[in-house]
Amino acid sequence: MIDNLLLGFQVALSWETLMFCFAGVSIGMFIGVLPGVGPLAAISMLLPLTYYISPTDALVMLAGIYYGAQYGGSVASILMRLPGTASSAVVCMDGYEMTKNGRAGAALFLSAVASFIGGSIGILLMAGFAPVLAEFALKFGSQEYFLLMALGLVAASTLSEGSAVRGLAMVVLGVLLGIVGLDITSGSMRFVYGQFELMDGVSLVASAMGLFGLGEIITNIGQGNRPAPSGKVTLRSMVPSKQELRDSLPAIWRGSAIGSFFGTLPGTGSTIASFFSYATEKKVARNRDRIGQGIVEGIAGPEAANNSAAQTAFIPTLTLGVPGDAVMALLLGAMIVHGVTPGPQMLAETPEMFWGLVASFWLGNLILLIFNIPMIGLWVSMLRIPYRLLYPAILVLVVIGTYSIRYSIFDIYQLLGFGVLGYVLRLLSFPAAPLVLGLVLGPLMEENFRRSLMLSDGDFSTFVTRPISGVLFGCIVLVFLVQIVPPLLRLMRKTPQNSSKEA
Amino acid sequence: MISRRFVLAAVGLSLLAGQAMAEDWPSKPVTMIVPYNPGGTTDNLARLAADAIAAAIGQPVVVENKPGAAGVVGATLAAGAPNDGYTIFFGNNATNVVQPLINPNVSYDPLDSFDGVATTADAVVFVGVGAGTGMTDLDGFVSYLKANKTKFGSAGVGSMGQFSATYFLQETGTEAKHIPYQGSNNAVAAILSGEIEFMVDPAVTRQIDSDKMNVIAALSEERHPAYDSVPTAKEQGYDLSLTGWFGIFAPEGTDPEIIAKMSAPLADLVASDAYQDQVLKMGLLPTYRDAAATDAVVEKDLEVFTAIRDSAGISIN
Repeated sequence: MIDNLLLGFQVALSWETLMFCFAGVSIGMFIGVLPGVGPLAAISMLLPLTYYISPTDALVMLAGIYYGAQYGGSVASILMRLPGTASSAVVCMDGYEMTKNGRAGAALFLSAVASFIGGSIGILLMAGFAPVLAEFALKFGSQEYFLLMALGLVAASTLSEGSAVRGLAMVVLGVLLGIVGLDITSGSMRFVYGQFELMDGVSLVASAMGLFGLGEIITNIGQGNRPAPSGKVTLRSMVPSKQELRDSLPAIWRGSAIGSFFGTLPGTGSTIASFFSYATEKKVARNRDRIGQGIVEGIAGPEAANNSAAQTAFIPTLTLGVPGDAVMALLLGAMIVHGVTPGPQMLAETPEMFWGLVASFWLGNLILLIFNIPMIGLWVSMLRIPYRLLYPAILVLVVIGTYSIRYSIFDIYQLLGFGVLGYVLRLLSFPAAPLVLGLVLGPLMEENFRRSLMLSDGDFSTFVTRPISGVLFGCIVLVFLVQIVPPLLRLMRKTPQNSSKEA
Repeated sequence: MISRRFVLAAVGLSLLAGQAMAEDWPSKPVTMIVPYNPGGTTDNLARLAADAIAAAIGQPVVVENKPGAAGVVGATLAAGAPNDGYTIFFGNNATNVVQPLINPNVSYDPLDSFDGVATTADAVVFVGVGAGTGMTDLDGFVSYLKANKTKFGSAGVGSMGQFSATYFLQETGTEAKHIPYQGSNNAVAAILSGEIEFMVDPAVTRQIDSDKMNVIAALSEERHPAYDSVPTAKEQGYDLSLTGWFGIFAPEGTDPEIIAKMSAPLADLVASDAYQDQVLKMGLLPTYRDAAATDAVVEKDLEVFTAIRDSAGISIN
C-alpha cells in the first residue's frame, strides 16, 4: 500500500495534475456555496472541456468538483439556513442556530475541520480496503436496503426539536410526496395529472431549497427585519472553544463511520448519510438535550458523514464499475470516453490512475481545508450585507440553481410551492427536516420493499432469514424498544405509586 | 369570392415563402433539443453531430437540454416546434418509438410527428449472465432458463432493458421473472451480487472483465469491434437481432432540402476516424442512415416493439 500511495502521490503532485485538482476543488466549493447549484450541473457543463486534457487530470478535476461541493454546501446552511446542497440540509438546524447565537465563525471552522477529517477517513478506507468494501456492499440486497431505510425512519422519527407527533407527521407527509411519479415496479403513474415533469417525482432540490431557504426568506419578510447576527468577526469568535472541540470529536468519528458506510452502498449516498448521522447525534451526543438549538455535534457529525460518503462513493464506481448516483454515472461515462474502464481490472491495469486519484483526493481535501479557514471571515461578513440587498440576490440564485437541475420552469413552480409550504410549516412550528428525509427515504423504501417481496415470491420471512437482514431487523427492534420502553417504565412506575396512594 | 382569391393568394405566398425559406436557410442559429441531461451518452453524440452540422451550414447549432420523463418532455417540445428547420431533435429509439407505444399520455406519433434526418450511432444489446449460473454460452443459458426459475433485471417497466429481455425470452421460447430497478446500473449491481440472474442491456459491457458476470452474446449482425471477445447470437445459432439507435429528427413537414443540408455533413462525420474512434470507445457503433433510411428504421422498430409490447402486455398508465 505504501508503494502504491507513493506512486499515487507521484502522479498527483505533478504540477499539472495539482493545478487541475486545485481548479476542481475551488469550482466545487464555489458551486456548493451557491444554493441549489449542485455538482451535477457543474460537472456536466465542464465534461466536454476535459476531452482535451489527459484522463487522469480530467478525473482529478471532475472528482474535485464533486467532493469540493460537499465542503461548500454547509456554508449557506450555517449562515442563512439555506442548504447549498441537499446533503447539507440537516446542517441548517444547528448551524443556523449557532449563527443566531453569534457563533457563525466557529460553526464554519468546525464544519471545515469535520469535513476534512471525514473526507480523510473515507480516503484511507478507499486506499486500504476498496476491493473488500465493494464485496461487502454487494452483500446488501433489496431486503437489506429496505431494512436500512426503515431503521433510518424509526431512528429519525424524532429528528427535530419539539413534539414527536409533529416530526412523525412530517416524515409521513414526505413519504407521501415521494409517491408522486412513475412507479418503476408497476409502471403506473401516480398523481402525475398529465404533467410529464411530475413523472420523475417531486424534486428533492426544489423541496430542500423551498422548505429551508424560501421559507426562511418569507418568514424574515413577515417579521420585518432579521434579528441582526453579531457581524463582528474577531479571531476569538472564529475559533471554537476547547469544550466545543472536545464535544465535536466523537461526533466526527461517528459521522465518518456512518458516511463511509453509506457512500459504499450504491443508490444511497451523502444526503442519507448526513441525515443518519444527525439522527445518531440526537440519540448519543453529549449535548443531545439541546440538539437543534445550536450544538456543535449537529454540525460536526453530518458534515463528517457527507464528506466521507462523497469519498467512499468512488469505491463501487471504480472497483465494480457500478456508479452509485447520477454524478458518479457521469464520471464513469467520462472515464469510458477517456478510454479507462472502471471495474475489477482498474486496479491492475491502470494503477497509476487509481492511486493518482486517491492521492489527489487527499491533496484536494487538504487544499479545501487550507482554503476554507481564511474564507470564514469573508463568509461571516456577508451577514453584514443589508437584508434588502442580500435576500433578493439569494432568491435569484436559488431560482437559477433549481432551474439548472434539469432546465425546467416547472421545477421553479415546485420551488415556490415548497417555499409557501415551508413558511406555513414554520408558522405552525412543524419541522421541515423530517419531511425532506421522508421524501429521500420513502421512494427507496417502497421500491426495495416491493422488490424484496417479488424476489421472495411474497414471502415476508425474507426480511429476517438472511444473515444481514436478520441483524438489521434486530437493530430496528432494539431502537424501537429503546424509544418506547423508558417512557413505558416511567408510566408503570407511576401507576403502582398512584394506586398505593389511593389505597 | 374575394375570400377564395385571398386564400389562394395566401397559399401561393406561403409556398413562395417556403421556397425562399429553404434557399435562405439557415439565416439564424439552429436549436437542437436533447431530451436528457448534459454529459450522458445521447448528449455526447448530439454535441458531436451539432458541431458537424454547424460547420457545414455556417450557423451555430445550439444544444438545448430538456430532460425529464424518459425523454418525453424534450420530444414533446420538439414535435410541437415550427417545421422551419430551426428546431431539430436528437432522439433515440426509446424516445421516438418505445415511449409513444407504452405511454398513453404521449401526444406525438413515431411516424407522423417527425421526419428523420439521419442516425449517427447504434447501441448493441448484450446478454449478461451472473457467474453463479455457471453459464458461458447461449445454448447453455437457454437450457438453464428452461430448467430453473430465473429472474432478469431492467430499469423499470417500459424500459429498453425490459423490451430487450422480453424479446430474448420470446425468441428463445423461455420464461423468466422481471425485476425492476431504479436505473440499469442498479440492475447490473444486482447481477454481481447474485440477486438476479441476467439482463439484456448495453450496460453489461462494463462487466466483460468481471469474474461475477459472463457476457455471453451480442444481439447484432457482427461482433462489436471494441468487445470482439463476445460472440454474436447468430454465431451461436440463434437468429436474434435487436439494436438501439441515436439520430436527428425534424418536426413533420420540414423542407426535404433543409433536411438534406443537415444529413450530408453527418455522413462525413460518421465516416471520420476521430468520430469512429470516440463512438467505439463509448461502447456504441458509429452508424449512418440517411433521411429515408432513418424513417425506415423507425417504421421497422415500430413493428418489432409493438409486437413485443402486445405479447408481454407492457404499458405504463
